[in-house]
Amino acid sequence: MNNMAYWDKRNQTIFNSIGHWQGGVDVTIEGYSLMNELMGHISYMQLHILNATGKLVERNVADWIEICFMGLSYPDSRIWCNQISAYAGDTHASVVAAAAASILAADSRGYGGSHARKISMAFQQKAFEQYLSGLSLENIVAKARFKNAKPIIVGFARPIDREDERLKPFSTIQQTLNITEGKYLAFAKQLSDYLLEHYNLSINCGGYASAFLLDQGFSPDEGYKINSFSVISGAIACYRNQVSQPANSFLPMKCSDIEYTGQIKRDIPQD
Amino acid sequence: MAKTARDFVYAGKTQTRILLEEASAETPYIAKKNYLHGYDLNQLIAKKSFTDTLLMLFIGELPKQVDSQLLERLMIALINLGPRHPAVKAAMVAGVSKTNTEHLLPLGLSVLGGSENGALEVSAAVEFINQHIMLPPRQVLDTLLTQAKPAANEGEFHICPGFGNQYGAVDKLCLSLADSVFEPYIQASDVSADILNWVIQFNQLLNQHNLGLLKTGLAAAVFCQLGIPSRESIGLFQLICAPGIFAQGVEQTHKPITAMPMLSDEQHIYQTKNKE
Repeated sequence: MNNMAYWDKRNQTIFNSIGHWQGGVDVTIEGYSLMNELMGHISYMQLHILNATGKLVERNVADWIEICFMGLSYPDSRIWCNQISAYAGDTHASVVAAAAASILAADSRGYGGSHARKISMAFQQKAFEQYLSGLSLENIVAKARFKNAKPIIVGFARPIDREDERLKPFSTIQQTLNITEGKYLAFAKQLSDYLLEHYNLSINCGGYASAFLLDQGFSPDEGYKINSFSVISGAIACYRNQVSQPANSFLPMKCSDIEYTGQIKRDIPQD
Repeated sequence: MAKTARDFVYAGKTQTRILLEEASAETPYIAKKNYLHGYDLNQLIAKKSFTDTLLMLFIGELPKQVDSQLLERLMIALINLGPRHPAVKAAMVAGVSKTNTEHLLPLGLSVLGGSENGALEVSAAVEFINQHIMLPPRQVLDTLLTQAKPAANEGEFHICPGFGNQYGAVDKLCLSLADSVFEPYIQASDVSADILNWVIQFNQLLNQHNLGLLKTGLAAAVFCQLGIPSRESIGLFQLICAPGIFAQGVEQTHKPITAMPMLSDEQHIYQTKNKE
């Protein structure tokens, strides 16, 4: 007979170390009363960060992260996750299906600010440790994966061909909110200068935001949780743009718009 | 090709090796015939089974009958993971709570995407089997046992992807299903069942340690035997498990919201902690 104590303890019982709803009375989140201490006293972003990480951050930090969300959620249907939301509009799927599909789509190692944020933060955290232990920027970059003779470092190359317009407001608003530049952001800028000089690559808004979150004491996993739905607003906008239009009208394609590169036509062999 | 000022060069057209759509004479937006890996879809309907066609979709060639039958047996084995699997439970909770019906399957499949008892574990198990198939199962187990600290893992313990215990015990149902799925293939004279035999031996060694094959490992073993790569195995596993997720979920939609338990305050134990 196996020891079933572990399972029996949890049978028909939920253990929750984060929050609890006392019906008709209050809700407790990480020891705080939602009705008396949080509602009316903190912003929605502060509450979200509390739920996502267990940390009640200062209002100015939450406000900066909110600004970052604005930069991750453009209402432009060309962006991959927004295309998916627009396709959901094209089939008249529900707005929630569109939003959820878009969030899932942006859970990507290439863009989107959720999974990519974790990867970027983990890289910067490790790179900074290596730098402190005496490794040069050249050697740190040399450890990255290379493609076409350029290092692949999430947060230090944007997959379209223009300068990142978000860097300026990110920096200006950080100053306006009286949040001083931390050691990670200083290091990220140093790394960006090196990459620009040697590889024509530079920091993008994801790299900046990753350094910012590290400076605020968040781990890569916490950054992933905070940013898990960061693309939702632009996705809903792209859904709204499409849902009132006729079916199949979002990027309609001719058969010849797809390049077939597979097997030529063939007969099914006799058994 | 549209070349950008920097390093990303985007294709002018989407490419695929899977499906050819032949346009009708009247309009380029309407296809008159579709070809899957070169085969006329109408011909496939007439001459081939769903399982033949499904396997071809991923491996590019029509499978041998014995391979197709192996996949079909796996599909039956995993058609319903049961109302206690988290992915199925998720669809059932959604069903009873009146979630839009079209969301039941996607949300269940999202839960099924996980790295523990989910599709990511299948993918990791495919890689694990492919990496270790040339080594004797005993040697692989000995190495794993030296690295493993089961006592430190309260709850379920997977010694490697696809193998371990479920609720602290060997998954007896899984072993029985594996027997039914594997055996006809092993008995077939025209194929080598090296991978399935390796998995059986590895499982038998694990059983001595209260561990064994899990359903994710069962799927991975079949996928490895059929040459399905690890990334493809993720969606194929979700696809195979999808019927049960939806069937169990939609069943609940016909019932009142009170048809499943809602735990009382006493059953939701808040482990109070101090504010940071």
